Amino acid sequence: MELDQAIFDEFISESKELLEPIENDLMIFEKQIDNPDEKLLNKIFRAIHTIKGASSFFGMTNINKLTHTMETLLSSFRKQEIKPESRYIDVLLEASDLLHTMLDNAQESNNIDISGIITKLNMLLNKDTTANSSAQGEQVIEFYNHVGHAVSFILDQTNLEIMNHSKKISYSLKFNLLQLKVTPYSIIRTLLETGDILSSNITTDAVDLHEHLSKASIVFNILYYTYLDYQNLIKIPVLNDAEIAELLREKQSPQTPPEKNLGDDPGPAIQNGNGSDPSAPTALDNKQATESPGTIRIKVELLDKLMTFATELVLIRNQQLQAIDKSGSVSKTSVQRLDLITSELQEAIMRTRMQPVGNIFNKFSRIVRELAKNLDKKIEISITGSEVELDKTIIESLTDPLTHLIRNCCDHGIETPDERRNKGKQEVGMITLRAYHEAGQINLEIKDDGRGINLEKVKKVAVARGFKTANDLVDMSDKEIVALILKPGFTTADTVSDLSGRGVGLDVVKSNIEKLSGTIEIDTQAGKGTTFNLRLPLTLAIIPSLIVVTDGYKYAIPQSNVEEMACLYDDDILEKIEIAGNQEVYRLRDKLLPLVRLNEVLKNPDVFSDQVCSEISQHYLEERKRNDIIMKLIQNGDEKDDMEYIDSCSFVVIKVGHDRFGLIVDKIIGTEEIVVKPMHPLLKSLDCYLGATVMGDGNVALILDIEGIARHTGIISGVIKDQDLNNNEDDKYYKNDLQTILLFKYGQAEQFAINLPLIQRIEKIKTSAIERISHKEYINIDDKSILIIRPDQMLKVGGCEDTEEMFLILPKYMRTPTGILCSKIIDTIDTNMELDTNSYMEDGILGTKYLHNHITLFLDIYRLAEKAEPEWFSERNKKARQLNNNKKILLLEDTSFFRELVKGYFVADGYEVWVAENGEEGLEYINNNDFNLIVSDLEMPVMDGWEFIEKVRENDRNKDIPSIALTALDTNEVRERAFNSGFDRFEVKLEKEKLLDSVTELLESKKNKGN
Amino acid sequence: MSNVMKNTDEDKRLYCTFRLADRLHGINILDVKEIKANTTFTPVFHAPKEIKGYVNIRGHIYLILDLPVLMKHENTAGNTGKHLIIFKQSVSDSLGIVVDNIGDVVEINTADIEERRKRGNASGQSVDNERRRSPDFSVGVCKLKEELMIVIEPRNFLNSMSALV
Repeated sequence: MELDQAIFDEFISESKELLEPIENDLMIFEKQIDNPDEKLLNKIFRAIHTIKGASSFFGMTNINKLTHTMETLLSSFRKQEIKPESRYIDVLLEASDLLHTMLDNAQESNNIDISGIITKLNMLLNKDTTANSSAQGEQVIEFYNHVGHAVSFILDQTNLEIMNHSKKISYSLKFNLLQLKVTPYSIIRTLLETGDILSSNITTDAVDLHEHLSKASIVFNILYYTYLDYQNLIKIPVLNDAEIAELLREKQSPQTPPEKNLGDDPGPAIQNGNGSDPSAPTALDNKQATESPGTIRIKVELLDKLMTFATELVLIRNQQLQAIDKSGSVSKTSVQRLDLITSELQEAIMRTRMQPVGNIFNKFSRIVRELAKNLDKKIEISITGSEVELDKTIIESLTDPLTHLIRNCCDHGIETPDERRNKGKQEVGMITLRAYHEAGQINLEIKDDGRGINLEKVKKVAVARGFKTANDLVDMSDKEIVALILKPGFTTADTVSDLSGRGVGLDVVKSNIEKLSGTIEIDTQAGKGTTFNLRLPLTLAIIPSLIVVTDGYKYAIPQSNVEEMACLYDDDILEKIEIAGNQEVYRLRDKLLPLVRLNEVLKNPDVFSDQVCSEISQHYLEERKRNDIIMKLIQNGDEKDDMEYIDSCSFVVIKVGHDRFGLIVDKIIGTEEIVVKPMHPLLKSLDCYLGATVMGDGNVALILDIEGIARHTGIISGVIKDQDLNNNEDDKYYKNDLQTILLFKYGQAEQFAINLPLIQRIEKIKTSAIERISHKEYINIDDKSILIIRPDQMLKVGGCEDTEEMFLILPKYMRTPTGILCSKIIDTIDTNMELDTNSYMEDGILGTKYLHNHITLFLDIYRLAEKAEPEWFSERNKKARQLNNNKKILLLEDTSFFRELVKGYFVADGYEVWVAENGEEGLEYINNNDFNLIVSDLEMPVMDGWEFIEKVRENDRNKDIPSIALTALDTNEVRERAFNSGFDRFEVKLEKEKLLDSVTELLESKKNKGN
Repeated sequence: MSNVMKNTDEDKRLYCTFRLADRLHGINILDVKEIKANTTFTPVFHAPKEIKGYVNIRGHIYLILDLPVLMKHENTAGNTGKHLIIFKQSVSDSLGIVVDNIGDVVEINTADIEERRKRGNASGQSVDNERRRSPDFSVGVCKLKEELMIVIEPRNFLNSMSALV
């Protein structure tokens, strides 16, 4: 059968496409065992049917035979003779696998042995059809016409006997009922004169008779049994319109004489060949076309080409933008439009390469199903975010790592049903696969609710293998310890069982993910499960990068590696860079940051040895000293012509996994979207580069492989890693309680601090713009008059001389726009909120803490605001105090800072406040005391707010106590859950006024109800 | 250039020539995509010294080999200017060489090329000499009117470089 290759290819790819979802559909179908969805079944049926039709057209008998048998089994479902039990689905899945294999190698498909699966299918069929539907022993018998195509008829035992012991010839006669010129009755009568009709059926290719009958054909198939030979048979007049094919019980090689066709006008080959229903494929083709309008197939090659052009266009755009920057000519608008359109074009083309992650996710249901069976576990997988799209190349290289992780979850994460029952968990283990967008990246989450990773064992192995010393481990967070399992060689054969096997080849997963410039993080809770978090860029082709210059050449650093940038000036170059061990370091917010000099990295082709490191450090120490001397000389006016010095030192703070280091460069230019071109094959062995790109100025810039550089310089395994400064050690203890605070100064004396989450923004203002109204000061920012609070007006602190420019800190959640004036912003740091409230206290101060070598005053900005507008607040306060006398509030909050803050609000309004640190403690209080109101945080250790309120409501005595959920997460989901659990109100933390109003309202309404 | 190429008979070939260490070398022009004058290179640190760097030619990035270094002639004086010879895809992906003293395009009869393997004739010695001194890129010599031209096979560059890295 010589056929156009293109059509053949089309058939293969279409069949594969049809087959793709079947696996999943079958598994869904399996779950609907008691209530099978007909639409789904029809979809599966249709797909198999289409493949069957087309395969016979191409003479692929094996595929045809297999699909036919599958179809027969499927139709038993349709007739509701059998239910989709897993034994059927198993075989169907196996069959679809085989179909896959055959389609992959379609030319050879006829040589693949399918007898095994056919037998299995037939066994299921025979057993069930005999058992369920026909006591008389009806069977589906397959016949073959001379070209080897299968035709099946249902025969009962007697007819079967007749056929087996007779010299008559069997024919399949096919009449298209719609074109029939005589009645079926006359056909049957005529035929019976010269032979027997052993079996007959009417088939149609319409899947849904209501919808498709008008377009479909109805075929009347007769199994005719007669002494007449072919030549004589065709002389029967009623058979003029029939397709006649001689049938054999045994399959025959297709070399026998050409097909005999009796039709008035011989149709295309497809009409003759297939015994069952010939027009199926075409009809279904049309149907499919209407189902998915507006899609066409495009060669990947062409897309790649388009992509190249688009990236090229991006380069030209960049060049244009640079040119226009300099010239400032009238063509600016057209270039701006070029800019816009190029961006859009680039995005659109990029999207052509995007594929939903569902393409690979769906495979996992199957894998999990199979693994669960093999491991004798009960595992379900829930998949969300299948529609999230990723670049094709990323998707392709994600399959292996994801499969690995899923396997890990099934194998080592999820416990056996017995174990789970003993632990009080549900027998069925749950694996959650989730994909979602976040900050321009794709997040993939693989989560199991299994036993989790045993940290102690990880530690033991880490020490045993010499990755870490016991001392190192003390300083490491759980997250960092878990991350150790990603290290290459972490597990070996003898430790696998100890470690519950986690980590076998996980380093491969990590390196695969990192190749895609993604990151992997592990979260684990003993007994509760493990979560793998993968973060990936949307595409690899164009990435935002930071452009830096060293030794006159530009380099690009992928933005995903860049955390922040810093620049040291003048004295700081000498003083702030210290040497620890043999490494230059900088104290960045009390953490030691190793510094790497890019020029030295580039100069030394070999991996840094300790000696090289110390040589570099010493060299630059002297350099910096000399620089400092020259600088001082010049500043003192001792300038000489040949004196040159460096007045700044820029570095980029770079993160690699959990590690950070600073990369010193000559100059930082800015961020740019760059087109990544891979390194030339000859240069693949170089560690420090990711690729190359063409810059706007037409020069090639190399893209730095940050991780390669880290390895090259030995920073990652470096000795000073994670080594905190001594005075910060107790911070570790409160790690969970860390808050980011802003340090600032007003004048020379005191150092102040405000919680960063409380700050909306910081404005640089000109003091000349401050206006005075009576004794108050205001400034106009964005058409709003903002009341200025000077710390020295409210507190007994030192004053400040106004400089020309000052800063205004604008807090969130203020009743009236208010800003706190300050002269200098120092830094933001992370610290715990264990404040000293004894040594120095004043109204408007939360407490003090020793930070950055200074006593720091933590401001209560809301109290300050109250003090700034005493008229308004005093009125309210008076009212409140009267009202609230003797009202008792129970406050639940785990963070001490918020606890004190919120407690302060209530106390100020005259309430009596009891505080509890978690739900359990809260319950204890509530069962022994009477409260007028409950205010509770939601996220708390031991017992969270939701559980707490549920428990509270269980008790009749407490079920009417008004309650407010207080949270930092204001989402509808959280809100709803809070209400469902039994909270009456929902307030966002720190919105002081709203919270207090809510409290008052609730208490009022309670009182009214009580009356 | 295309006009000349059209005239090429079956037994005639065009060779792009350059001079290195006083000797004339030739590369089959069918292997050459383009010849470009001086451009700026982006050096690739850590790469072998035979690699000159990357250049951008109309948005496409090419890796340029330093031929004098590659052929161990780096100390030869008399560089008059740098030219890039960029090879076609059929030779190697995105690869070129930088040469000093680019010469003319010459037309030669294929019959005039003495294959390297054939020994014992006048050119034998010089080829031998060439081999001892530098990596093996030449596939033969061709007698021109006034001098000999060493025929270079650019595909050999890639092999030689792959061995280096």
